[in-house]
Amino acid sequence: MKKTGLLALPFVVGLAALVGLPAVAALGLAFTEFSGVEGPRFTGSANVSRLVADTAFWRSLGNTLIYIVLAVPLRMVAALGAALLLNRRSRTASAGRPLAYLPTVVPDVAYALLWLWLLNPLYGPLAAIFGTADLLVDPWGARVSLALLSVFQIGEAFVVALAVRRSIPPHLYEAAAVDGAGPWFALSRLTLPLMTPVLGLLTLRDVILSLQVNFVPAFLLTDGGPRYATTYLPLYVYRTAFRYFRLGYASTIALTMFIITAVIVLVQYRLARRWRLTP
Amino acid sequence: MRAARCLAALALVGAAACSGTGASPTEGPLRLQVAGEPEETKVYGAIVEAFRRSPDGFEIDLVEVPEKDEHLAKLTTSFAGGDAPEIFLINYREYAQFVVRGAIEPYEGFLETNGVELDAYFPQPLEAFTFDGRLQCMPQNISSLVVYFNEKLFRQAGLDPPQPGWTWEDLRQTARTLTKGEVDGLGIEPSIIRLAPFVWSNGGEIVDDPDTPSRFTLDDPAAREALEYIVSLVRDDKVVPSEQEITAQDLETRFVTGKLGMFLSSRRDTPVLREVLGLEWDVAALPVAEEPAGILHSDAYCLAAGGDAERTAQAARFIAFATGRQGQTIAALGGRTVPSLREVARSGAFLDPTQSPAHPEVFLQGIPAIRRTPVIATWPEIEDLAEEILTRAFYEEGYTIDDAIAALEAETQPLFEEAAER
Repeated sequence: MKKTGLLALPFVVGLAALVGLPAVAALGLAFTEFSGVEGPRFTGSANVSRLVADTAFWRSLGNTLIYIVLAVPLRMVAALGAALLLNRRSRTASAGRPLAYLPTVVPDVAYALLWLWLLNPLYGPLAAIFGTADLLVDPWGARVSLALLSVFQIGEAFVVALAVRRSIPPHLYEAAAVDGAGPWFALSRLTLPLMTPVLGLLTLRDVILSLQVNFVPAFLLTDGGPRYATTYLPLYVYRTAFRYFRLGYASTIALTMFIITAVIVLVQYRLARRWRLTP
Repeated sequence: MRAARCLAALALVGAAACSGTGASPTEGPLRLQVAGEPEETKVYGAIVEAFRRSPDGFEIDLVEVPEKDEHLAKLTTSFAGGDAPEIFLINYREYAQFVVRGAIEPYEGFLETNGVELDAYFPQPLEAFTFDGRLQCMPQNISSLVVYFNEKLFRQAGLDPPQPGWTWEDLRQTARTLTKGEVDGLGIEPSIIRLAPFVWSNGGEIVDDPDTPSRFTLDDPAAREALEYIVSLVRDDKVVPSEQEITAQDLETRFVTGKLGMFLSSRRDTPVLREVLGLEWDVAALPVAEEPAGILHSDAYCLAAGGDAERTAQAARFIAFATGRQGQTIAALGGRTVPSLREVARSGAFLDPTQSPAHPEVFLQGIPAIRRTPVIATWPEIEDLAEEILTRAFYEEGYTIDDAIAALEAETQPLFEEAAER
């Protein structure tokens, strides 16, 4: 046990220094006026009052929640679907597994630039396929596009789901087959119930992830537009802090993001516990 | 609240320790941070090199940042980390937020020691970079908005090049004639800096007071008429690329690829256009309503405050070189700038007849009518908001001029108030 603790020490120290301390500092800065250029000045709850009246913040929060509602179910269905399809021991499945993971290892910026071409209103292939030039011009077109492009970066959820699927003993399926169960029955009564606890955890994780991972595509593909439709909270925090020199207020927004994330996760966890979905 | 105070105290100690008001390094080469395309920034490399070779020269590291937003973000974080570049180049519309926060060492105190004679420079950029009664930064250029036009498309449409004093109606007719098939007649961005010269030319104002503005005044009849005119070019005449076309390909690219007959821009596009083989282009003055009007586009070299006194003095010496005859000549030859030093602006380095555009004097002829936007700390945020609102006015069905004017007034009001409080 002692040895395990020692092994974890570098990580814990790094986590405390690089994440913990800045997080605590940001928490404190949330109650100051701080531009980064001059020293911070304590302003009490002024930033909170500003936040309540800030329509741009509420709009960004709404956009973020829409993104979660669009992206998380799609990503989970994609991860589960890929895990079930590629679970088989065949050459096609063997080739498909790395392909399913591949988009996840592509750097975010390169991935976003690829999609910038795919979604180009006039010269992109998707505009030609769907017969519309509004994918990045219409607010809902942009929202859906950004959610869709996240669906292909599901590598980690896919690997976990695949591992869980493979951990289900084959004899359960054999017994079901002996009892005359078809593929649909096996999926709905055997596979999914056995995988559900882990899928619940993956969903929790994906919600947390979705609150943060939309920064790069929103920054590079749409610049938060059109009509602020893809200005998500991380992008709003970035602009507030580094374009408008309001690091103190940006810390207030980041703190609020943290609280919102915690509340969403808590609600999900409680629901999962009630329905006995989590271990 | 007590917990918040404790946390804030902790953060204050940490942030105060980290946040400098300027450049902290006391050794190593000085740094000059600039933003722009490689074609634009290479000229600063040439100036730095020329300075290094000069009798009093020394090494300077050039920090190039591709985009303006990243340039500002990098400056913010480097100031916050107490590691700001000793010299940075910034537009007059953006420097006020640094001045009010004490991040800029006024250049005024270094004029005499470096032998800088302000009378030798155009007054407009000097005035724009004067804040609280002191010259804060040393301007390197005095560009204005002009009409870039594609000579080949003009010839094919049977059009003569625009003449000085041409009118708004002339612009409309020319754009209509050019608009055919894949070609759009005119490229204009939905921004306040594109709209402003039209408002001024029509006898209107964009804000109630250019020095201490408290609100936009686009509801004023002359200003409103200018806005209506621009929007009608987009919506009624359909001579401006659609939102889809702009998203697919920006104005400069459309111009370079022969899909745009004219577009409005400052001098900054010149170096890129010069690189395009086979592109025949020139510039013309903005069309006039009641009186000629232009908008100032100017960047200046600023000194970061709070640095080592000796290094700051060295940085000031470089700025004197860069904005002096030799530095300005190099910049003018690069094509990116209209020199702020009168002598160089009127020299062959800028008015080079062998280089495009064929009529560079257009940039100089517009100088007497040049005006600036307000210099206040929240102006960049006001411009961003205005751009979003004007985009809707340009392209969104059912979004009227009245909606745009009301939104501009309502959404920017807190920012004008915030600037006034500083």
